[in-house]
Amino acid sequence: MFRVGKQIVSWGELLGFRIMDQINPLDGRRGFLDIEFETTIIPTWLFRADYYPKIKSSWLQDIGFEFVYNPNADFIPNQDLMAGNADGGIWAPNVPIPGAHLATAYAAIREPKRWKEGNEFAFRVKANMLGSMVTLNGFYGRDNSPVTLLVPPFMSPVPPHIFASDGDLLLHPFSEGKYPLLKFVGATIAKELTPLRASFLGDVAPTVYLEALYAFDSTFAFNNTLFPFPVNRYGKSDDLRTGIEVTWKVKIPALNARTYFSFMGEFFYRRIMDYPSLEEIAGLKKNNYQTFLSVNTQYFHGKLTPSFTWIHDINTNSNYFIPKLVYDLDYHWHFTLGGQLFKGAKEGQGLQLFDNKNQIFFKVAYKWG
Amino acid sequence: MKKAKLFIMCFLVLFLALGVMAPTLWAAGEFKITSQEWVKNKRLMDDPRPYLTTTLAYKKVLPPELYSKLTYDIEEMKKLWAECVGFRAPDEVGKIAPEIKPGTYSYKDKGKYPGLKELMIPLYYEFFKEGGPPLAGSYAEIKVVPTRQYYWSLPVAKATKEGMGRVQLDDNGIIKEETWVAGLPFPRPEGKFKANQVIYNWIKTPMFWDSQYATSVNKGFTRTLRVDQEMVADVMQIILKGRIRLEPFGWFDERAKKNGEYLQMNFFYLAPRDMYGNVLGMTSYLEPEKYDQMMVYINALRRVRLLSATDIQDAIGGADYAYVDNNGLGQKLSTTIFPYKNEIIAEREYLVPFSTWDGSEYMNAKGEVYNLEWERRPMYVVKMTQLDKNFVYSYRMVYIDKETGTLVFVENYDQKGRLYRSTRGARPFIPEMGMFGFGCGLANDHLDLHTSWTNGYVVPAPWLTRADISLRGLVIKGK
Repeated sequence: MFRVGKQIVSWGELLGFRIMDQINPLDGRRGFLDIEFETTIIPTWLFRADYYPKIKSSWLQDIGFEFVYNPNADFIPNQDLMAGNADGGIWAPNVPIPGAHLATAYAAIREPKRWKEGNEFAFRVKANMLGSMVTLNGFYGRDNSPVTLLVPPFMSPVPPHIFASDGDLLLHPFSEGKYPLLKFVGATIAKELTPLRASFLGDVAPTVYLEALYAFDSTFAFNNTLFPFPVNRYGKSDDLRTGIEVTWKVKIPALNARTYFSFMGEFFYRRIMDYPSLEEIAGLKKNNYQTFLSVNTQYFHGKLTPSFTWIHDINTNSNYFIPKLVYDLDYHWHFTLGGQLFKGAKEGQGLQLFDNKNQIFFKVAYKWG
Repeated sequence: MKKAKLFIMCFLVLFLALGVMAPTLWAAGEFKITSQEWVKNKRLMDDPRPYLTTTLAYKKVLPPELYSKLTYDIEEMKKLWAECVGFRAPDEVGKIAPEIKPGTYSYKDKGKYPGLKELMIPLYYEFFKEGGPPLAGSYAEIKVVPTRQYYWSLPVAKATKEGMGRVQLDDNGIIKEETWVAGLPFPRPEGKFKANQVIYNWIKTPMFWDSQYATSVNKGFTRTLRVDQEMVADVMQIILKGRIRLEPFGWFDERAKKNGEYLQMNFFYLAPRDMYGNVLGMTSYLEPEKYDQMMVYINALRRVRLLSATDIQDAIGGADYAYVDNNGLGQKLSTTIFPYKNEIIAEREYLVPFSTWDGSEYMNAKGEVYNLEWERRPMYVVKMTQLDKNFVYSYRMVYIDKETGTLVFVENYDQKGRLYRSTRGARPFIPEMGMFGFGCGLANDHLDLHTSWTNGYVVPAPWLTRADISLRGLVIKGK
């Protein structure tokens, strides 16, 4: 198969955390749930070639080779949540600054020149073997998120709007940055553990998905916190990111006599291999842990789907809860009542940055076709 | 970097060349009826057009060479098949309620013809009524025709005859795979495991072309008969063992033989729109204790994901059947995975809409099904009692045609003994081929009061290869 054009190439196995999916950038400007998931992944100009040789082996059922080339025809990085309500809207992080609010950032981020720089190469071998899906991955390209350094005047009001409506100062961060090289090798494995099926749980076995990547010489912003003003520099470290997902459908007759409960749990671990001894990396420790748990079931012939999702950042002890109720009237009309709740123990860290954004929402969707 | 770019360009040129050539090669001899063509010729609702004798007659649809290869002398097929099963259906029926003669009967005649109650399967008799909520699939009027002899094609009959006395079950009633080569395994069920043999005649049914391409349209109806689901899907399927009509004969390839693979298919959604591009891939194995392997290409994620092969009891996407109800009865017999105790509780004739010969059957907005031809058929009724108390069903009542071994009707009872789901099928018969087509099907959920109504079309597809239904096929087909 040969495909050229704006497209999405997805490499991951986990549904919650994004580890191996580094080819396409994400659009996260509208929060975590405000738009359909599919539209959060930005298609980019790519050449993709797949080759599947004929296999005669009994243990190897399928093997495929995938090559992806990004000529950087139109550089699009991750579209992250933006600082300050003027740009970030309601999803601008609530960064605690005594007597002030974080406002629009002034960032000079150097983008790789179209065609000439930022070319990306990605190669994957995928195999269906011994009842498992296995991939080996390699990537050489640019990080979709920039690494930035604060530069003078660091944080400053900018006329004419110096004060917010509550009288506090509006401080604009000033920074410069770049999209550094990202080079990694990795692997994914998906396997159903049939021996673990238990009759009293409904006879469905858990399926395990594993992802791991090891990035070489990744660039980070190292901040020295010993000084009263920002002292930061670019630093390098290898970077290990790995995660495991277990999906398991379980029968709980007391709560739902006819349909299973689907559980999906994930554990994410990231280690900065050469973490600086005196400096810090904003938002990252040497070892970083997060968990994800989602459960759902269906009632009334699949029309009503309650679900609950919990994301927990262990390092910052912060949480994100999403209770949701979806009613599918038919294949056209879909109604969703849900909530997004954030709670964090450490001010200004992790998901606590959003804990003034707790909300309930109601969505009506009509789908044609 | 320059060298790398040069390498990349050469690589891409090579792939481009292969990409241009490949469709030309694959297109040679590739034919199918797409869902668009199918819907043009037969809408799912209120459409009495007899597609089988007109626009979609197999003689018209198939390439002449293939049609000629798959058609046989009808009298020879009839004769050989009667030798296999030991009877002709018309000679076996007419003993129950003989006063019910060919003709048209309305539900209003039920009082006038009490014999109908005795002659019909109880649930069919319940559905012999005016249409309306809560369940679709009633028969306000039925057309009774004389019983016909049904038969399989010559290759199936020959393979069946060769296997008579050779195909065996083990001490637990599980088939010894090495003894079954092709054809209907037990044309004359008998002995201690007679019920298992009847079930195996369906599990190993010659109903499917060795390689086939099918398209189907499905609508779901709520308890008020409001349409709440509409699904269009195409299926590519290859039988990997026991091939007798399309090359390669016997095993499809060495891999199938080594791995004990029985069937591989890709099921790709065309509608509803948000399901478009999702492709489900499945490989099933001969070994009774081995689960199928299932993968899905999820369009929203742009990725292939391994699915749990043990997740077979939940309803599929709001429909009225689970994976274990695939084709009416989608389970292998096993001593460890949801084992059944099977017993034949009746061996008698029933009046059923067994087959449609012209494809004029249709359903109207009231949920009434018309233009099916009802025949007296000699049948086995097998009660399959589930020994695992945590299974979705406590038992199944399975109605299987004696002459062809095909499944006509299934009732599935939940663990509280309530009728949960039922599946009724009426497949088109192609007399010159000794073969059944896709046809229409009704699935009812008697607890949630929901109905699925399906109709579709299938063609033999000798052009299908492993590449079409493998991991590659998932990625290529996925959008």
